[in-house]
This record gives sequence, C-alpha cells and structure tokens, in this order.
Amino acid sequence: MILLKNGKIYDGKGDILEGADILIENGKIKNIAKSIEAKKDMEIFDVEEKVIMPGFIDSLNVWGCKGPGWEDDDLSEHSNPVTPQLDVMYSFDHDSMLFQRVFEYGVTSAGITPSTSNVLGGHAAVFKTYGQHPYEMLVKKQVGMVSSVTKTIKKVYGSRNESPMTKMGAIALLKEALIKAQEYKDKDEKEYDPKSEALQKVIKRKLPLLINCSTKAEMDAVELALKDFPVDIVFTGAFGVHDNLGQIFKDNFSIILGDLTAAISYENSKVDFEAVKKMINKKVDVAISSCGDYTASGKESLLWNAILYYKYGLDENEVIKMITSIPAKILGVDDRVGSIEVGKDADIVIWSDNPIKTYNAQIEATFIDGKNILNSRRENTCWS
Amino acid sequence: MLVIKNTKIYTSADKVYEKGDILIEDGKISEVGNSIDCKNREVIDAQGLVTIPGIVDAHSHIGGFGLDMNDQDLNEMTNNITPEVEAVYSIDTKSPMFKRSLKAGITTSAIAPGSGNVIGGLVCAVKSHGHNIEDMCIKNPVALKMALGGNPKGVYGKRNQMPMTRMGIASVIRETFTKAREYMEKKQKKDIPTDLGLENVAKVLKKEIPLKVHCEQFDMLTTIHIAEEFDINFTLDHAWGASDYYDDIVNSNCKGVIYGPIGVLLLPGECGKIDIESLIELDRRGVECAIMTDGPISNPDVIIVQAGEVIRFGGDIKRVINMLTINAAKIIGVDDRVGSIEVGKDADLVLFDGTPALDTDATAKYTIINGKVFDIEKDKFTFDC
Repeated sequence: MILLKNGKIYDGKGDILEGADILIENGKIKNIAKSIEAKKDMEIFDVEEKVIMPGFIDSLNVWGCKGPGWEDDDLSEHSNPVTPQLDVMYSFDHDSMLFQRVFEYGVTSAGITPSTSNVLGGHAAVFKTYGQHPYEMLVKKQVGMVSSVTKTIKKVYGSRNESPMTKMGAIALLKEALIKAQEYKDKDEKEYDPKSEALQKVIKRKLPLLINCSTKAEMDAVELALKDFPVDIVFTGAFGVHDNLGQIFKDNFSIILGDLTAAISYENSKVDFEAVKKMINKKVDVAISSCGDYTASGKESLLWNAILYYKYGLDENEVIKMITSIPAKILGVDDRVGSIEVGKDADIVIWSDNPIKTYNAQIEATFIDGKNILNSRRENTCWS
Repeated sequence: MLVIKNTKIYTSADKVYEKGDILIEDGKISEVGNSIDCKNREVIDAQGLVTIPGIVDAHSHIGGFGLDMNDQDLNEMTNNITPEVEAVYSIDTKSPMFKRSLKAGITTSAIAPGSGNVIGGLVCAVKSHGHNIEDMCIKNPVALKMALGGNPKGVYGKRNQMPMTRMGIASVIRETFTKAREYMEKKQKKDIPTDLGLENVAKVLKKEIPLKVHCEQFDMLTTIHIAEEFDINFTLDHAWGASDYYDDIVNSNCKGVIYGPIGVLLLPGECGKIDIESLIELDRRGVECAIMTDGPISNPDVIIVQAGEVIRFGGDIKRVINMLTINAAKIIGVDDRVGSIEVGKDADLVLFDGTPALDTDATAKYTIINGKVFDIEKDKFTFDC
C-alpha cells in the first residue's frame, strides 16, 4: 500500500482538494480523505506543498507504432483509402512506446490511432504508457473509428490518380461506406464484408467516428454530409473550430483539439480560442491533444499544448480537465483513468508545482497502476 | 522619441533592472536607466511588464518553406555540396511566418539552407519586419550551412550517390575543404577563374564565418575532428546528445551550441537522445548556448517553451534569457546590432506580461523592432520612432 500524505490534489474533474491524502492499494485508488492513518506496511510519500494530478491522457497519438527505423510506419495502410476493418492494437509495439518515456512528462495513457491519411483508417485503442506486456498496457481496444477528410488523404491518393483527389471525393467514400454498412445490417443473407462488419458499431452509435478535420469548411461539410446517419462524431484536429459549429449536430459531438507546436500546418495558427471557450460553455466535451496531420510528437508535446491553450486564454482548471477526465470520457475509458477518484486506476503524478502555470515544475513520481515507474527502464530491447 | 517606463528589464548585458526606463530614438536604444525624462516624448507605461531584448532565433528556415515540406526553396538537392547558393535569395518576405515570429517576440532569425546537402549554402540574418529582403537582412553571410547524418544520406544514398554513409559525408567535407584550400593558394598566385562555391568555402577557411553544422550525437565528434584539421570555426546545431561530449565541445573551435527542436518522436539512432539540460552545463563551462525553432518545424512560440524546459531542468532565468537573445546574436555575429538592451543597439525589444520561460502564460504585449512598436492585441504597428 502507498500513502500520499497531505497534497494539493487536482482531481481532474475540476475540484481541488487541499491537504488531502490518497491511499493506493493493488494498483487502484482505495481512499481519498484528510488524515488517513499511516500504517506500518505502507510506503509513505510526504507530498506537502506538492501538486498531485491524474496522469495525463493524450487522446490521439502514434507512439508505439513508428520506428525503430525512420521508414518503419505501422499506421499508414495506404493500399486503400477505406480500411475500417483495421485495428491499431496489432501495430502496437510496447518497446516503441516505452522508448518515448512520455511518463516523464506526466502522460500515463494515450489513444493510439491509425494515421489520418485514410478516409476510414480503422480502430483506435487506449494504452498505458508503461508496462511489461502490450496487452496489459491496453486499457481498452476499439475506442473509436478513425476517419479523415483533410488534404493529407488527397495527397496520398490524388497523386496516384485515385479517389479521393478532392474533399467531395473523400466525403463520397465516407458516405458510401456508411450506407453500405446500413444496408449490410438489414440484409438476411449476406456475403461477408469486413468493412461493413467493422462499421456496424459506428452506425449504431456504439463507437464514435473520430473524424479529422483541419478547417471550418471541413467540419461544416462533415455536419452536412452525416446529418442523417446515426453516428457519434468527435472532431479531431479541429483547428477551424468556430462559433456556429454544431448548427446541425447541436451539442451532440465532441472535440479533440490538435497540436499547436508545429508551424508547418498553417491551419493551427488560426484557432479561435474564444470559439473554443464557447464550445466548452455549450457543454461540448473538448479535449486537448498533440494530434495532427504533420506531427510526430514527443513526451513534452501534450504538456506544451496544454500550456499554449492556457496561454491563449483557456482557464487553468479547464485545461487540466482537457488532458485528463475529458479525453477519458471521449475515449470511453473514464471508468478506469482520467481522474483521481476512489476505485480508479492509480495513475497519479506528483509535481513540485503546477506545470500548467510555471515551467519550474518537476515531476517527482509517476504512478501507473500504483507503481512509481518514473525511473524504470526496459533493458535489452532492439530499441535501447 | 519613445520612453518605455517603469518596466522590469533583462538587458542580456549582465544588468537586470527591477524597475527601469528605456529611451528609443531613431530606431536605436539611446538610454537605459532609472527615471528618464518623459517630457514631450511618447511613453509606454510598462508598469508590471517584463522587457527583454528581441529574441534571436539562431536556426530557422522561415520564408523558405511553404505549406508543406515539398513546397520549398532551401534545399538545392542537385549536388551533395552547393556552397555557391545563398538562402537570402530564397526567402519569401511575405510569408506569414514573419508576422507570427514578430508576435512571439522573435525579431531576428538566422535563415539557413536545409539539411539535404552536405554543404547547403550561405546563411543570412533577417529581421522579422521590413519592406523587402534588402531591408530585412542585417548580415549576409553569417555562416555556411553543413549537414551530417541521416539527412544527406537519405537524399543521396537513395540515388546510389555519395554520400550513402557517414564516412562518405566526412570524405565529401574533407575533399571540399582541401579543394578550397588549394583554390585559395592558386588564386593568390595567378588569375584563375572564380569558383563561386569555393569562394564561399574559403570564407570559412579564412574564419570570416563559421560552419553551421546540423549534427547530433557522435556526428559532433566528426565535426570537431575535421574542424581541427582545417582550423575552422563551427557551431553545433540541433546538438541532441551533447551531454555525452562536454569535454570535446569545450576544448574545440565550437563557437556555439544551438539546441532544438525538442518535443519530437524519439527513434533509436540520431533521434534517440534529447538532453536540452546539457545547455546548463555547456553554459557553465563557457560555451555560447542558444535555442532554435527550426521554423517552420516549430511554431515561433516554441522557442520560449523550450527555454522553459531549460528552466525546468534547473537553469537560471537570466542565463536562459541570454540563450534567447545575446548568445544567439553572438553566435551568428550580429551582436553589434541586436541581442541586448544597450545604448547604440537596434531598438528591438519585447514587453511581456510575465517572465517568459518561467510563467507559462507570459505573453508578448508589444514587440518593438527597429523602434517600430507592434501592439500585439491591436495586431498592428502603432508607433514609429
């Protein structure tokens, strides 16, 4: 058992508990209270004047699926623009994830996704960022269906004189696949179609469509195109987020904001932060991530993005939620991670100060499943 | 004339004023002190603001890359060495990156050819604002760009051309410098045809400019070794893995370490070791240290974010602000004009509403460049002196 004594706890849902203790047992949070009695068999961390936060969650990333060589990419299945039948869990190399050491910057879970260069790319999954076995690190498989309508797809397929060469081409492929899946569902006698099979959960609102859009026009086009389909929508990237987003979807959608640190994608310089605030006020779930068409983010990237969204005017506590409980909710893993609550996985980070507000904040411990893994290393892999 | 009144000033020239004033006249800094007379002068009341010199980005490619890496004018990948080309002719001064830089507080950037070639061409120093390149470029050349490792290997190796290996790269470099040395000797004795490329390499041999070397990890040793052989100066750019070679760097002709960008996916090999904290030790041991955006790889704001990472590892704020300003200016040889808040220097200043690299939400309120005041909230120039 581990006892964190007397910390300032940000629970990830917007509440701050001053001078409270956290008891960890069997990898889970067992109790949160003032003055939990210390016992002999407990390892005690005095966290007075420290800041305790839930482990951060980067919603959409490539960690674990690229490298070790520059050309090794297990996310971009560019043999066809419509590949919903794929599942990223078969591309995930846990040594590749461990090599990133993202837990040194407080990230304890990450949504890993096929690349955004297919119209339908396949299933995303959520993994812990440290562990001894990839399937033990797997928090949940099939958390969303990755989709995209950005110019990245056009570049891949259009340059081969294949569809989609245009945005309307991309949207046509998306609609076609969804219609086919609906008709497939209603057929009594059918020939096995892996793509339509894979989309069944999507058209029954059991699996959200994580649809990558950079510009306002792309998001508007998606609203218009999908208005009659029974699908749940999460806009990802979403740099063109604007006041009247949701004209058709109302507030039945979520947003995972993309990376602000790279400058090669000019779209991310046009984010309207006031519109982001309006979406939050409308009770739309908005998460921060380091995703995007051009990014290959590192361990620092999620925190940097949180810092930049804070710097550009979002509220400090809101920003913390946007990298903890909100991504957990959007990805459907909030039963296990994303907040400091009794019964949740003990994915907890001890900071010397609030990292959203000052650069002079160091990590003193990162717990994943109740184990402080901050200084852990896996030796003897092809990655080390 | 403009007075900036009652501001905390990090001068990057040793002195920090808790509360000071700066007088700007004809685009230059004409006085720094306490209680400068404000009568009949334009005044910015900077109470509560923190003023630092305009940030100098010592390694960038802005204006030379468009909306993706293929839309580019800085990699002349038709020959493994192209010392004859100059970045100054490839810069689109209307690129939105200049305004983004200005808003982030970057007033000068060293704009370099890319890393596709072993020798890429001449680097120039450019201000973030001006009417045209003649106006904006304050020094050309400031260095000759060179690249080691995966970049040139990736370009030429794929074509079955040299360099396909690291030893191939070293051989190309040595051959070039040997030829340039012979060329210089011959040229002195008799009238031989001018070789534009070798003329530029000769500038390095004569120590008029340093080599600006894209390298990391043990490629740094190659740079150090060859620079010693030809007695030339160099800077180590990117410099991931510098913490393995403190002694080698300190005891070499290294004129500066320009670190970054970090916040990238790690891969074994040359992208496997990120150690921005090495700047703290290198700085302590007397090496000029700076931080880069590698723009447009990183957004201009990220130069401050990376400086914040040096703070996170224990760096001192004054030293870290030097890394963003005077150190970078010295490394690219423009410290006679920019990089510190001293009388006679260009009036390039940034006024933040917090301490940059310490407070995460410190945001530039005004960027002053050549005495022109850019009001960031109003998104326009409001005063020119």
